[in-house]
Amino acid sequence: MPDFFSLCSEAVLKGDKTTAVRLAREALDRRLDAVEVVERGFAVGIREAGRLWQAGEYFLPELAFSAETMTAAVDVMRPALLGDSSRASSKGTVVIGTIQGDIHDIGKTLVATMLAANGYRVIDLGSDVTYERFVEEAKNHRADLVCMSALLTTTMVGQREVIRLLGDAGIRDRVRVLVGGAPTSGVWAGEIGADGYAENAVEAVHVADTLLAS
Amino acid sequence: MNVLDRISEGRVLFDGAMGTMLIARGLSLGRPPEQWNLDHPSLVRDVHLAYVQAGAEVIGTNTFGGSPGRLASFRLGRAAGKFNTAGVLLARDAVSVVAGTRETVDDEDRDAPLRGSPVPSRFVALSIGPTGKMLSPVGKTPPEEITDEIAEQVLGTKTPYDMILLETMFDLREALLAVAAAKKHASVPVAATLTFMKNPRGFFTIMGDEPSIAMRKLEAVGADVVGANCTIASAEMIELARKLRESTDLPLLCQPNAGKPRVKDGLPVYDQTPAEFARDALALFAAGINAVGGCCGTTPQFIREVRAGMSRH
Repeated sequence: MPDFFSLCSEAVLKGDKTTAVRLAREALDRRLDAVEVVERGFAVGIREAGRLWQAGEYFLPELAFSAETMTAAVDVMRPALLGDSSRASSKGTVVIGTIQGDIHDIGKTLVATMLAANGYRVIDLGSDVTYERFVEEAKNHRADLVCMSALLTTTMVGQREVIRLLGDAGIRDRVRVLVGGAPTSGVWAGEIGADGYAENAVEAVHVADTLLAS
Repeated sequence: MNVLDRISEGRVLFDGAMGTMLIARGLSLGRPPEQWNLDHPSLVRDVHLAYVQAGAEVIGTNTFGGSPGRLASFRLGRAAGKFNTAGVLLARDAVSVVAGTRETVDDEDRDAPLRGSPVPSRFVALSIGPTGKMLSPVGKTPPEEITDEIAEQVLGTKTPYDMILLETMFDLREALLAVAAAKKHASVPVAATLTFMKNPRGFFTIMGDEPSIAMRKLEAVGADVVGANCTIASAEMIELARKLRESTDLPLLCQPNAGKPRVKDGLPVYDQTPAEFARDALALFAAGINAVGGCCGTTPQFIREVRAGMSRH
């Protein structure tokens, strides 16, 4: 039923949460294959939204609405997805936050939403997160990935500190570290010993997929 | 001469970065630079002074993050007025220290050039950055809250200044609210600069605001000077400047970054040389930009280099 899938995809692409939630409920009522509905429906929309962002057609509001719509649809589908856990388990657990001293939330929240929309279990610590708390939460949640955002040249240096503390706590080899934020770069990620850098929320999903697959 | 008349004349040099300068002087990473207006006033004044001596004509105060809401995240919200008032005083101090080298005291000579100075007089701009709150529907902030933040920062600043500089605005809607609030509560000229990124389709704010439309809307709510700052480096700023010049007759201000930072010995460093920056600054003037300054990563050396270039061309 290609029409139903494209309706799902379109709802996410347009950021139409009401329609997406209605379609997700309909899929459950009709006992459609939940994994297939997400994969061939909603997820197609979020990938297209990501492509439009990279092409400069979509901006932060559009991408944020698409990601939120995707998350809402997946929330409705979750019981059915869990019922088929062999195929729909989470891609991994992510602990994410903006580093202490930095109250910028926008980019980080978008990355969190996009990761959740793309099948990750996301623990969003918010902004102004202390170095120690990143390590504690990574430990408590057995995180596979720690994502740190810093929007200021004054706070980006904290990313190095968290990586050092992950080492001190003895869990550096168990987690992958992904950094981002306006002043950061791939070179910076390399210098501080992070595993990856992403320029934006769409790239963050690609980098997370690559890091956790390796 | 009034600062707006001076900017309208053209070839006005603003100062460069403050935050990165304070980091180099030991500002703890993650602390608000505004706190130094009270804790280390002489160090802040020294940065202003260095810019004045480098030839900057307009000095921006160390109050970029001085809105009550932003300072509240450091539990300093109630002290916002004190930080902003002190910030203006420090910039005024630096301007008058240099002005003190002037020999004449006669009022009639007030507008006479300073001895040995390339500029007739200097001005202080109250710097106001984004409130850090995201407007609905993307965020949860209602428009009135943005208006209140700007009003409080302006009204809490008890020392006189020559103009207000709303800078690094990434959401046109917030910038429009900020201009309206600033115009309502202050009698000085108001400048507003947005920060644009370059994507495959051209220049846009991260919210998708197109530069020409943005300039016209800022003009419509009463901005006296408009323009762009931060995010992009000087070479891309020239390309953007041409678009801006076509879109409005208002005086324009551009303050590009000194490239993109990389890290050396744990601190961010910027690779662009002052000479490269100065060459681009002159190109910005040539493109019809009235006022040019520097954003992240620029230092007094950059401003001095631009001033030297201006005196040659």
